[in-house]
Parts: sequence; structure tokens; C-alpha cells
Amino acid sequence: MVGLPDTQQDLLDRLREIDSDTAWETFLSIYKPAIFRFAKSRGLQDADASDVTQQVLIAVHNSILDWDNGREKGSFRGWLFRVTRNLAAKALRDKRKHQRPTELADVSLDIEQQDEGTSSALLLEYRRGLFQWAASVVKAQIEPRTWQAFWRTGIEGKRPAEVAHDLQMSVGAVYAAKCRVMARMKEVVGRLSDSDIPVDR
Amino acid sequence: MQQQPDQCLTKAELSEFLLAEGQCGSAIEAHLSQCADCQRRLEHVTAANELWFETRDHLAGASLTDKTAPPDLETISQDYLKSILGPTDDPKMLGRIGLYEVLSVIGCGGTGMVLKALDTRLNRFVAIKILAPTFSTSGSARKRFEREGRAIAAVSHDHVVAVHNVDEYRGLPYIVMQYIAGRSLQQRVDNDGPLATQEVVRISMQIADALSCAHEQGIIHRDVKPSNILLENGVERVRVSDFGLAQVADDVSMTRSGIIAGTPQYMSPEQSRGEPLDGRSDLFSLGSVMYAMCTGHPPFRAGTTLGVIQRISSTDPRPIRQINSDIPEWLARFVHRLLEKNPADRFDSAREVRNYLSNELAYQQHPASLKVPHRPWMMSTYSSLRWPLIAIGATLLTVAVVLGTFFVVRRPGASTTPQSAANAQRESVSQSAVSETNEGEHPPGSAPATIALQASDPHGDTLGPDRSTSRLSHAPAIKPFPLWRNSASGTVYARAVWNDGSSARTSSDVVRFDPNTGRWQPLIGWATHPCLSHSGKYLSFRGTHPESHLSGTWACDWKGENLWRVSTVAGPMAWQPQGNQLIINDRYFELQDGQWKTPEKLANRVAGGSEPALDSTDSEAGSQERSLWRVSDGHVTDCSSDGTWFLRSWNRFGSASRHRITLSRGIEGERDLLHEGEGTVANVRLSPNAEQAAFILNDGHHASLRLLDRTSKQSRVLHSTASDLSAHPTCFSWSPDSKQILVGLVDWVSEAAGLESRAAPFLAPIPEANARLVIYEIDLEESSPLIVPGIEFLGLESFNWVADPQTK
Repeated sequence: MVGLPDTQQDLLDRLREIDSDTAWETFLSIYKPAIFRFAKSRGLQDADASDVTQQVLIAVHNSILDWDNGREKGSFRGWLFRVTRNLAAKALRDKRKHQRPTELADVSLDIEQQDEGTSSALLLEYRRGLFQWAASVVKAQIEPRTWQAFWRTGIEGKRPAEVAHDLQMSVGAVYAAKCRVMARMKEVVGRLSDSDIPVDR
Repeated sequence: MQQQPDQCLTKAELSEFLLAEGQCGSAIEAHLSQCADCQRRLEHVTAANELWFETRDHLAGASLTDKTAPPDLETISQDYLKSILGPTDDPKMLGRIGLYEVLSVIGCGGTGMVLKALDTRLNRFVAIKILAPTFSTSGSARKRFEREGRAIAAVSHDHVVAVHNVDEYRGLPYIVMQYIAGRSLQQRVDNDGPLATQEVVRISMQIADALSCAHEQGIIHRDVKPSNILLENGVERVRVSDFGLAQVADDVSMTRSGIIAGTPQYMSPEQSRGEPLDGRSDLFSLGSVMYAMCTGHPPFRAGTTLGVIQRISSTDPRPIRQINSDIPEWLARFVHRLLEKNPADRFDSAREVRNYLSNELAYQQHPASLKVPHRPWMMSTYSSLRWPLIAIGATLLTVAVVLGTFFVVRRPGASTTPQSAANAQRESVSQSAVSETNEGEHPPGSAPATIALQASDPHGDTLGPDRSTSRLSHAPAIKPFPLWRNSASGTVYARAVWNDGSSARTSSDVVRFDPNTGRWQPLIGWATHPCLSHSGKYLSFRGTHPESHLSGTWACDWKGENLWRVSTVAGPMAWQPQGNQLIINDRYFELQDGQWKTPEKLANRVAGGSEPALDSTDSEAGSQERSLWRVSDGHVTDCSSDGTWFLRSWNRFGSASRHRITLSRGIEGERDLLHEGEGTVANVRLSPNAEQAAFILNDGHHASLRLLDRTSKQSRVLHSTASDLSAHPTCFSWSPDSKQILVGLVDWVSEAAGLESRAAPFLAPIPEANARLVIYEIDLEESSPLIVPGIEFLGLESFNWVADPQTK
């Protein structure tokens, strides 16, 4: 597991280092798709969502040096979420200038743009990015057959007996593979998810 | 390891098995193949069910495409709903609360959710408000919710949304209200803009009517705002909703976070201070709502909640008639009377307000047959005496604007005959550019800070497509504004904002004015934090290359022909006077034979010297001190053009933000603490004569441009958001003679519908040199709504060098 950041804080520290390309790559692989998908979920087109993603990443890149460790834990992510929300909102506003706001037919009481909703959407995307990154890390460390056993049973939900037959393993070995991969996933995800943001929605 | 394949495994054995590598567990695998119980237990030991589900959710489909859209908000809230609602037999319904079948979600707010439901007994639609789970977990909040709900249910009025019932379902309290088909006043103002006078009077009168009825029963609304005012379909009859509910939420949210929940834009000053309220607080909010109907936006706006609250308590709103001259004087004064800071200076009661408005409405409808109503608020009182003063202030400002325009466009060496402002505005880019090149005739060192450019004319010269390496070539109109000028070559560097017209996307780019061709050429389309070397030969900047996606600190030569990635780090940078040395993040880089290298003798040197004493909060960091130290060391942000002085700044962000500015003679010299305090600083720059430094301080409430004297270490505010409501300083540049600073201002004004912003460049002369402050405003469509370290404004569309008013 050489080269993997141990914690969110460690990732931050590494990002600040002179040769931080590896840490930056890690950062990108988790956050870039998350930011992009979030921007898309707000109703932006691909091109606009890419722009927002780029702007957020530039903001991070420009600020990371000045980011101080003394801040309370997890607030970096809070800040990042705020930047993302604001930039996505700005892009959306820019876009909407060209179209008449449509009237909602069924609305009678106050509908306020609330942060809670966007936060949980962004948190969801962040978790997705984190899990997908963790999957790529774990997948690279194990045998393809083991990964297949995990993927087909754990993710695709196929019956272990069927998978065991396809992969020419015993059912017990399929269970072992599935659970060992999951245990590694849990470990990798766990390292980077220490924060003040609750894991559960 | 002793295998016992026939027996079921203990939890510890399963855990051990999980960690084991290779085939040592084959006997256990054999047992696992047969024992369903152990299979389940192994999965359970591995991870909780939730984690299995989450993993599956996140990874399923990941291999298909990277662009899978996540479930939208509605799905999330419906999922959440399903978890709290009871099951229903009707497949068209979402679920059930008590006797009510839930059809759809009307809206979500900070404190709860509003649902549309069917009352199955009475067969009518109702609106159900559920308190958010975070609030409902507090026992006192729930009791209060119920108590208030019952009190509100007692208010029965034509203009109040009726409360049918208050109940609890599975521990979640909810309020059942009358369902109103229509839209909110917020939506109407968002869609239609300011309303006609008669509509303002009609709607306000009905709100005041509702308030007076509630006030007389001892209920204060506490959250009168346009989104709580519903307009029924067709007749647009006013219905005020959410009486008293704000307090329930506030009680909980205040204790939870110490921060006021929701939008404070319509709050009264006494409410924002947490003082006891009476009905006159609602009158202030009514005044704010009326202001919004008259102008299209609330009276007090700022980028942050605290900023809004601060303005509510301490500033007067901009007079309505300055924004919308269609509003009659009597109505404007009426609204401003409601917006008095002191409750005693407002009207006495909602009843009184209602009666006045009712008379006015009748007069509006029958002006011929009725005489002008009695308008006591038009009498001279303390508040109305202030109006002439404001008018004088506005006149002075107008004069300043005209003067400012004059200064902007007056050419160097021009005769003393003043040109009219109108003529001046027509100065084109190319004309100004001529004066720019002429300036080379001044002897070195005596070049006055003369006009460099007037580039705000949107129909002026646009960037030629002759260098089509960047997206710029597609831009129909680019309005460049100069950042720096290389007086030797006559070249002007500028950041330009462009708009491709189709998607309304904006971007800022560095462009170059070439005096030989008389054209603007795109230099770098992705640069931030550009920084010109003292010789003007090189430009360094931060950014991510659009094709290679490599990020870091980059440099290019003055024509943009050679591009180097100097460092993988995008850090604070400062050019050394040698012209080919750049300090990035306190490390040296030198251009040798066309390549950037770290000089041998300076390799990896982080400058030493003694550090000013750290404050106690820093030393408490203990084991983290080492890494903290490197960060708190600060970075070189500027060095004087003779290479003598090095300016460093350090920031700590967060709730207890602090900054520190030091100066050293030589990069390794002892660092002298020039300034220290709360807040964070940006753009810390030495004046060209190195006698002073200027910087922008952001303390979380205000941004201010400050001047710092090198010898006395005294600092003073040149411009602050506190003294001018309109704008935040975001960037600046020193004039070559160190006598003036040109500042870019961006206004972050939050709207209920989003953020609106304006920006204005203005000239802030150093007080000793010149006491005049010249401000002029330009309304802009685009601006970055962020106050983010590291992001510069994205939307300042034009920016001018301004002539030194003293140069005759």
C-alpha cells in the first residue's frame, strides 16, 4: 500500500508538498468525478459541468498551499463543498439568464433553496468517488479472479454458486474472495473518510 | 492452524480468516461452501449491511460509464419520505401520515418539508409541514412546535393560511394546513420584477390586515418574507403562512450552531440581535417586503449572513426612488418609515399601517372622487430630515463620477482644456494605445502614472483572431483591462473577460497589446495569479494546461512564444530583480539556457532567519508543530525591484483566522514583523519605492484594502466594505510612482434567487499624496460570487488605468 495517503489530513499534507503529483492524482480521482456528477445533477450540460469541475480544481490547487493544518478536521472538505456548490449555482444562474423561469404548477408554499439538500447530494457524490477510487486501488492489488468473485457476487448480486461455477472456484472460496475484497475496500475507504461529515445521510 | 471444517466458526476465527492470505484457509472454505450460517456470519463480520449496500450502490454501473447521473434531490427526499411515512394502499400515493395520503413534495426548507396530501375524511387537499428530523429530536422544540401550532390554529382570517390540525406521527410532529394553489410573492417578484404601485399597496394592505389580526391575539409572525406570502391563483388574494414557526426553528438552530438559520434578509434589527420582540418587528419585515416589491430586491444585501445582519442593524437602505423612480414619494417614505431601526420610530401597530394603506388603495382606485389621504409620515421628523442630506451625498457622488471619468481619459501632456466626459468615453483602445507608446519618451524613472488605456468601450477594438491558439479566437467581444504595462516595449498585459455568446460562459485570460501591430493578442487562456517580471520580459502565472492537464506554476516570455512549467506547485510567486529568477513557495528557480533550474547553490533552500514569535494557539499544536511551522513560515509574496526587500505573508484560515506579514532585507535576512492580527490577507504587495505595502484583509465580515508603512509599521484602511456598501476590494496594483493604487471592487450581493454582483474600479490615492477619492461604478452582468482564497474575480469586465489627477 505504499504511496497511499493514510488519512484525509495526510492527503492534504501531501498535496502541499513540492512533488505532490501522486497525491494530486489521488485527489483528482476521488473528487473530479464527484464534482462533475454533482454539477450534472444540478442540471448543467456536460461542457458546463466540466467547466465547473475545472474551476473548483483550480481553486483547490491555488489555495492548498495556504490551507492551514490548524483548522478543525474535515473543514477542508466543507470548504470544497461550498466552493463546488457556489460555482455550480453560478453556472446554473448564468445559464438561466437566457431562459424564462418556468412556473411551477403545483407549488404553493415556500420552496427555499436549501443547503442541506445540495450537501447531501454532494456528499453522496463524494462517497461514490471515494468508493470507486478505493475499488481501483484494491483491484490493482489482487488477482483478477478474486476481484471477479467479489464483483459478481457483491456488486452484481449474482448467486455465489453460479459465480463459483463460472470461475471454477468452490462456493466457500467465492465467499472468501468476496469478503476479503470487501474488507480491503472498507480499510481503504475508512482511511480517507475520517471527517466531521457523517457517513450516513 | 487447526482446521475444524465440520464445525461452525467463531467470530474471531472468521476475522482471522478474512485477514489470512493464500490457501491456508482451504478447509474453512470447504466448510463455508456448505454452511449458509457461516456464509452469512462471514459477511456480517466483514462489514455492516449498510456498507455492503453502499458499496454496491456506488460501484454498480461504474464500469459502464463515468457519467452516471446520481439520484436527484427529489429521489433522495422521496426515499427519505418513504422511510418516515406509513404504507399506503393507493399506488399513486407516496405514503401516509395519520389520516392523510401524501401525493407529492411541495417544498423543502431549512427546518422541514412541506407535502401535498389528501384528507381522506373530508376529501380535500391539504398541505402538511413536517419538522426536519434534526429539529424534531429536541424534546423542547417538539413541545413548542405543537404549542405554537395550536395557537396559530386559533387565528382564523381571510388572509392567513388556516391551520387545520397539529399532530404527531411515529414521533414526528406535523402541522396540517389549508392547501393554497398559487405562487408565492417571491416567485412573482422573481418573475415580474418590481410591482406597480397599486399592487404594492394592495398586497401590503392585505399582509398588514393579516398581521393585525394575529397581533391582536398575541401572535407575532417573526418570519414575514416574500416566500411566506402566498398569492392564490386567479384572484391573487394574499395568504400569509407560517405564523410563529420561525421561532421554533430558531430556538433549536441557535442552540445547535450559534448561527441563525435561514435567510435573515427580512429580519428586524432587534430580531437579528436576539432581543425580545413585539408586533413592530413584523412591521419592519413588512417594510422589507414592501421594499422588495418596489425595487425587486430586499433592502439589505450582502454575501454572507453576518454581512446582512450587520447591514440591517447599522446601515440605511438605498432610497427606493433612486432605484425605481416610478414609486411615488409618499409610498417610498412610508416604506422607509417602516424600516426605521428603532421600533418606536416606526408606525405603532399593524392596524394603523393597514388603515393608512386601505385609504391609499381607495384613493388609488378613485383619485377623482376622493381627496388625498392624510399622510402624517410625510411630516418633518427626524427621519425625514435626513433625506436632503442623502440627496446632497448623491449629488456629490455624481460630481465625483464625472470628475472620475475626466481623470480616466485625460491624455498625458494634453492641454488643460477639460474634455467633456462624453467625448472622453469615446476614446478608443487604439487612441489610448498611441498615448501609451508615446510615453516611452519620458526619461526613465520619471514616467508619471499617466493614462495607459481606456478599454471599457464594448464596441471598441476586439481581439484579433490572428493568434488562434486559444478559445479566445471564437470570442465575439473581449473587453480587456490592463494589469501591467511594460513601459520599455509599450506592451500592455491585461486580463480579459470573454463570453462566447452561446452558453454565456465567461473566462478570464491574459492578453497582450502589441504596439507594433496595434492589436490585442491572446497570450494565455488559462492563467490565474499572473505576475510580470521586473524587466517585463517574462510573465509567470498559475494554471492547468488545457491539453496536457498539467498544473503548477508556469512562465512564458513576453510574446507568449515560449512556455515553461517552472514548478509542479502552484504557489505564491515573486520575481527577483535579476529578471530570470523566480521564487515560488520560497524556492528559487532560475532560467538558464532556456530551461528552468534550481540553482545549485540555492537548491532546496527554504530561507532561514528568525521567525517572529508565534502566538500561543500555534505552539499548542504539539506534535503537528513541525508541519505547521513550514506553513506558518509564510511565503514570499513580493520583493522590491532592487532585490533588497522581501515581503512574506502567512495566513491561518478558519474560525480563528490570523495573518502575519513580515519583511526581510535579503531573502535570508531577519524577518521583521510588520503586521499581525485577525483575518486573512491576500495580494500583499510592496510599493515600487518599497516604502509601503498594501494588502487586502478579510476578517470574515469585511474586506478592506490597507496600507502599511515599512518604517512605522502603522497600517490604515484605505477602503473597506464597511465604509462603502457597494463593493469588496479584490485586487489592486500600484502606480509606478507609488502614489496611487488602482483597485478592483466586486460587490457580492445576495438575492433570494441567487447572487447578483456589480463591480467598480476606483482610484484610491494614498492620503498624503492626494486626498481625493474618485469612484465610479459600472454595472456588470458577470462576476464571481465566491469569496474564496485563490480565486480571483472572474467577471470584472473592464478596468482602467487612471490618470494621475495631479499631472497637469
